Amino acid sequence: MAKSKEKILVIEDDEYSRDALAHLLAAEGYEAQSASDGESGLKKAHEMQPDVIVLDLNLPGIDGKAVIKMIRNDGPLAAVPILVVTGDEDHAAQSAVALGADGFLSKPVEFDDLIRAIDDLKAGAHRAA
Amino acid sequence: MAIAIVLAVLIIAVILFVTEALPIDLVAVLMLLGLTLTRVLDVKEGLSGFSDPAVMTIAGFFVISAALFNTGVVEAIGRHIHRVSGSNKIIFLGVLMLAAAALASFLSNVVTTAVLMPAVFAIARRLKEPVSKFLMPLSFAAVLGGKCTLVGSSTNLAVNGLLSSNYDKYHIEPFTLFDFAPVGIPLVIIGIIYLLTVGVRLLPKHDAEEFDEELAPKEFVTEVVIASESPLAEKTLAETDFRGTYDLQVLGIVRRGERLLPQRDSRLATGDTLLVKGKLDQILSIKDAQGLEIKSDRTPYRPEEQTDTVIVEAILSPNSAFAGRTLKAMRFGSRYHADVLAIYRHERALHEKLSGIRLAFGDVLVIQGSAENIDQLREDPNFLTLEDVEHTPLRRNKAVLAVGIFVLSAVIAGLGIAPIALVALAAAAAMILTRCITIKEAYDRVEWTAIVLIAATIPLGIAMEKTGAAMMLANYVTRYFGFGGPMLVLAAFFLFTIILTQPMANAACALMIAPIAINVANQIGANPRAYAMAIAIAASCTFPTPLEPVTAIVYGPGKYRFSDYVKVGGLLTLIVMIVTLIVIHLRWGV
Repeated sequence: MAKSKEKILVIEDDEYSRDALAHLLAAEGYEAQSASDGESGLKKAHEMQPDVIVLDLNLPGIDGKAVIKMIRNDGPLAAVPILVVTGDEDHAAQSAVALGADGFLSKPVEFDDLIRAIDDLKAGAHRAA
Repeated sequence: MAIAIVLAVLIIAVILFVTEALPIDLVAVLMLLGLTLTRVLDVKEGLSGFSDPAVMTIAGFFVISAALFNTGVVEAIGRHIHRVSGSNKIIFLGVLMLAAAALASFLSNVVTTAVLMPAVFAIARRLKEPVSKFLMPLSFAAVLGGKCTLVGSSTNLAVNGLLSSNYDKYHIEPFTLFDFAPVGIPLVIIGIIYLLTVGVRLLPKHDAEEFDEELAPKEFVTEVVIASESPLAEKTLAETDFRGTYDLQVLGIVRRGERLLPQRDSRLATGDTLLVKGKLDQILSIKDAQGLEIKSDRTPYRPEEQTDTVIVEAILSPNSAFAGRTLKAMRFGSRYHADVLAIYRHERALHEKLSGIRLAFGDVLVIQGSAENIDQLREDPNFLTLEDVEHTPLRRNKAVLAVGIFVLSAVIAGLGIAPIALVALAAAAAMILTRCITIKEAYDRVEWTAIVLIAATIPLGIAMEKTGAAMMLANYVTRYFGFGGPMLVLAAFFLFTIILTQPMANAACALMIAPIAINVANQIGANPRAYAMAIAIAASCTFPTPLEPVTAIVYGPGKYRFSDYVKVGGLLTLIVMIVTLIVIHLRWGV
């Protein structure tokens, strides 16, 4: 699997999750970067132009839903697949999907589910392209 | 003639001590030989330092310190600072300095500073504050704490040794355990207030040394199990402050076969396996942590309670038959009768169960086994064994015992029920008898340089008295400075001692100046005991330079400059001098 060039941005305020995610994705061969809040996440997204964004819905400041809206209305980023991670009940995830997220996982996230979800999103993005 | 020899020896010794052309303990022994071979001192006088109570006290306290360290007591205090300090940096700094001063009033200043440094790194990272704001105050507080008791500083004990070895001449009662407290405690309080208010502002903002990627210690991965009845069970990662407490990164939680991403509010349960990453010493410290176990540390190959357990780093060799195979498939445990505690892989971090990782050339395994089995592994062509990993297990189950022995001996010495040197030796023996420390560890942890330095320098004081050299030097001081009165003379001595002690070993400096100061005090009608105490305090003022071990160990990690010491430590030294002189004046009316 030649996925070494693919870039993933993790926007997550929980430092335990954020670091473990970045580590797991790097171990799987992705180039992973991370941000701890919506504002720095958006900034970093512009810098690195990720292939997939993994986004926590509960963020301090600009929350996850607002981040989705801003990305979807942002020319260069509008098409980037977004995978939402949430500890809330389904309706939060559903409304995120309604806002333009491409998939969701509920916490606690299992490694294999995450990797599979990211692979699916990329496959979908390639088909769409 | 004898005076000329003593003065010549004194001058040569000072030059050698200051330039450090030779090791300081060797200089002291040469000084002793010079005085004895020229017959200034007879053999008995020349060797008397080695049976001096001060020297035995120092030796005893090295063993007591080591026992408190090896049973995890000192480290537990470091962890507690972590818990109580919350997120306020000034409260943290205050608690840190108070703890350092309290510990250092009985333990070695260097050990105290070294033991509390990891807590500083962990908490500074959490507070997002530069470590340079905490490290120097930590070492300064340890030095201040050392001034509170007789056993807190080598200079206090050295001067005490001088008093006891010259008792027939001076007729000055040696110091008791808490004689220094009336001066030391105000110094600690005022010193800490200064460091919290002014000192911390003067300190630079330097973060911990950013290591070059190549030079950074390797980060290993291992599996940690939450043991039954673990204090961590039913708590979340955030509640236990897992990262801060253990300085390990949690990569995943394995529960009922599922690999889950950790979260701040992940609640740990008995039997959970945590996949963690960290530096090797941090990982090995899990072996001592309560309620946590390295998973592979529980296998049948573990040499239970054996003393010959060896831990080595081994690298998979280029044509190893095991490349591409997992530990499980190659049946590592039964093949080598040893356990793989952790694994490191260059470039790509691991994210799997250890037993399921396919080994590759260059992987570094941390292997534990009996000395015999590890020796067999060293012969095995599949691995290149690197250096042995030093790891002394902490005997936490002995912690209460060690604290009990320590407190009891402090009380006995404090109440003057028995001479302090005997109490120190008895406590050291008790620590060994109760296996808080092994006899080998006890020998290893005594700093023989300090013992030899002080034991061999004490006879200089005897020679200075016997020949009248101290009296002669004192006459000069009295003649030229005596007009100023006892306080001014004492201030001059204090300042001179501070200057001389910077490049010199503190105890040696105290032992050279104190005989002169005591004679001057007698000549001008001042209190010689107060003079001796002031010299001991001045000689341990190591603040303005990073030249003594206790201030030197924070120099690199805090990225300080020499001028930082001169600025922050110079002001502190001035404060110490003023406070000491005022307290001595009020208490002894000097």
